[in-house]
Amino acid sequence: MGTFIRKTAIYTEKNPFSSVECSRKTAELCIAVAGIEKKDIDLIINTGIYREQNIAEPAMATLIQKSMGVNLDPILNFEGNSTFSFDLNNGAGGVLYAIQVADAMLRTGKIKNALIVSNDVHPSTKAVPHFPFSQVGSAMFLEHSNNGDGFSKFIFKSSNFTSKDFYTYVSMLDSGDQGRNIMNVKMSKEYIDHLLEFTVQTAGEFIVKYADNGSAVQHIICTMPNHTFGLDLARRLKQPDRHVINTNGDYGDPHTSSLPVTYHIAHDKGLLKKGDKILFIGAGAGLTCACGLYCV
Amino acid sequence: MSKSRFESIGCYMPAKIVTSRELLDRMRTKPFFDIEELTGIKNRRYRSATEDSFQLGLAAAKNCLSNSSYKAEDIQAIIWASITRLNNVVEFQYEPSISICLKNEIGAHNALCFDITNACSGMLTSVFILDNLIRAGIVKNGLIISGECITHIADTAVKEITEPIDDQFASLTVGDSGTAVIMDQSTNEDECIEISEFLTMAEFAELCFGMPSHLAPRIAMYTKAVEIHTASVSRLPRYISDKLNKFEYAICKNKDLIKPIDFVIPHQTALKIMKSALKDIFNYVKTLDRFKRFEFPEMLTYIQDFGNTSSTSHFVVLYHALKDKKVKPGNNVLLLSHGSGIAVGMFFIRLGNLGV
Repeated sequence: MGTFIRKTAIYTEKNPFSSVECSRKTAELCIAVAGIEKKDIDLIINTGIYREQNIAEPAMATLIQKSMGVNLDPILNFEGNSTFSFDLNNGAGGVLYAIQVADAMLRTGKIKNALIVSNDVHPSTKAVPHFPFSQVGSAMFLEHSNNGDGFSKFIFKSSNFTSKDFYTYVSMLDSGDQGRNIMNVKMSKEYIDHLLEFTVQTAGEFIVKYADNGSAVQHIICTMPNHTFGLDLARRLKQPDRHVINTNGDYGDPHTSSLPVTYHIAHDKGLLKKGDKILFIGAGAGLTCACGLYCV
Repeated sequence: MSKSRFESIGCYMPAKIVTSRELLDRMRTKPFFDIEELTGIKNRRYRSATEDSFQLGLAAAKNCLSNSSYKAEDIQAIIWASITRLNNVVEFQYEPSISICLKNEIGAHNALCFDITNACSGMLTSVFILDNLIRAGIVKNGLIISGECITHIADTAVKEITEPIDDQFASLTVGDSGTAVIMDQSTNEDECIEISEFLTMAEFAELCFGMPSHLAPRIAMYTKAVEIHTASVSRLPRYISDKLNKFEYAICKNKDLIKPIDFVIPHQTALKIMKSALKDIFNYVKTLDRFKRFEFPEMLTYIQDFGNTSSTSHFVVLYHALKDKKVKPGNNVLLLSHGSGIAVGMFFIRLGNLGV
């Protein structure tokens, strides 16, 4: 009994451009392959962090709902359907937190399904050299399953001291008239090493507790702040290299889309067999590490 | 499946008071209406030169913990819910999450942390989320915090308004604050969140934007206030009455109660508008058979003193109403959420002896 990924979609064609448009295109692909009508979407969560013009209000998820035309005016045009939208953020692994939230609402019966969307674009919607993320749209359509598949266990950890290794902000002192077009990205040289240490510790605890020390796992899907992170992590966790699904070479670092993008590619390539266990690992700023065990 | 409840509330209001008159005096172009007359807002609190969203939220979280039976290390989830994300006074922070900074500052090292953004509905969206996390048994308790240094948009409006009609006028109504609430499992049917409902009327998603100014390093908000009002007044009465009708058994508990709801807290925007909207809503409710003899609940507001505190508004009011003993254990309170999106929510709360 768990939350099951019914369908996913990714959008890689045109970037950089509006994150709302990117999410709209991706979400529409996703619900089309899922065979879902727009009006049946109960919940939209956006986990993307970087968006055009640094819009702080309304939630991006709301703008995505608007651009998709999902239950726009549910009180006057009442047909029994409505949709709720909000943004949930927690660095690159935010999607696992969103899945946990959707999982809770699916369990209580508050919703029948959830659409989780993400992508990160520089606020100027231009290619900016220092901006470390590539814009890849991702969408995940989630439902509840009683067949023993889906997510069964999660763990969410963050470091006991807030790390300044990765820090992004817009300053109200020196942004001039460019507040809508800039993003300060501070990344220390030690960031990846520190993140790897923290992730090894957290994911190590997770596999001991929930995944027979890793022997129950066939695939590892993790966020990829650089192209060796997945392999480095697997080796430190004493897991075979072949378990790591590595997509950093294909699209750079899609940041908050990393986990759904990698899952989508693995699924597309036919790597995932019914009953396979996937260890999802979302690591990022904070430091944070979230792990989820998923049965295909 | 155990329901959730409010266990304790914390609040921090910055000391500095700025009157509506003072704001107007600073403006080169005056509005064609009297803000105090139109909104009922006399004063609002203003951040000091060293305060930011994080500091306001942190002070509220500490206050909440001091009112709670839980220690920081007992907290299982932390949700940060503000619109403004100012840390280090002037930095609008995207990563890491502010919830993690807060977790570490108070020492809640066992908590699952994330940030929620949903404009002025951010805190109640987080209540909706935490209610589900608790009812699903994923966590036993959690802390929701919002620190809003929202008067930055008022300062921007003062500087940037050049016409008597301008999308930045609504920005003059806001005030700074920090609030926090701890929720846990209810062990008593008389003390719980009985109903939590939310939807987004995304047709109107583009009627209010908060974002950096294009003129200077400032945060601004651009609001089509009349259009939002028009959209809402024709829809909220139907929404609220539909929900009260749907959940009448849970609200009335099969008794023919005349006053099942003691108090109502709407989002704090403008006094006259809040009063007239509630009148429309409850008149509509009275057309339902079940609610024919329904007596209007009393509206709670501190808008005169604190203005529109954005995502914290319901908790600023509830905290002060409990402190002032206007609201007491055993009272039933209806919280109505109304934020950009337009996100519309309704919470029916049975209050216990919660700490403030």
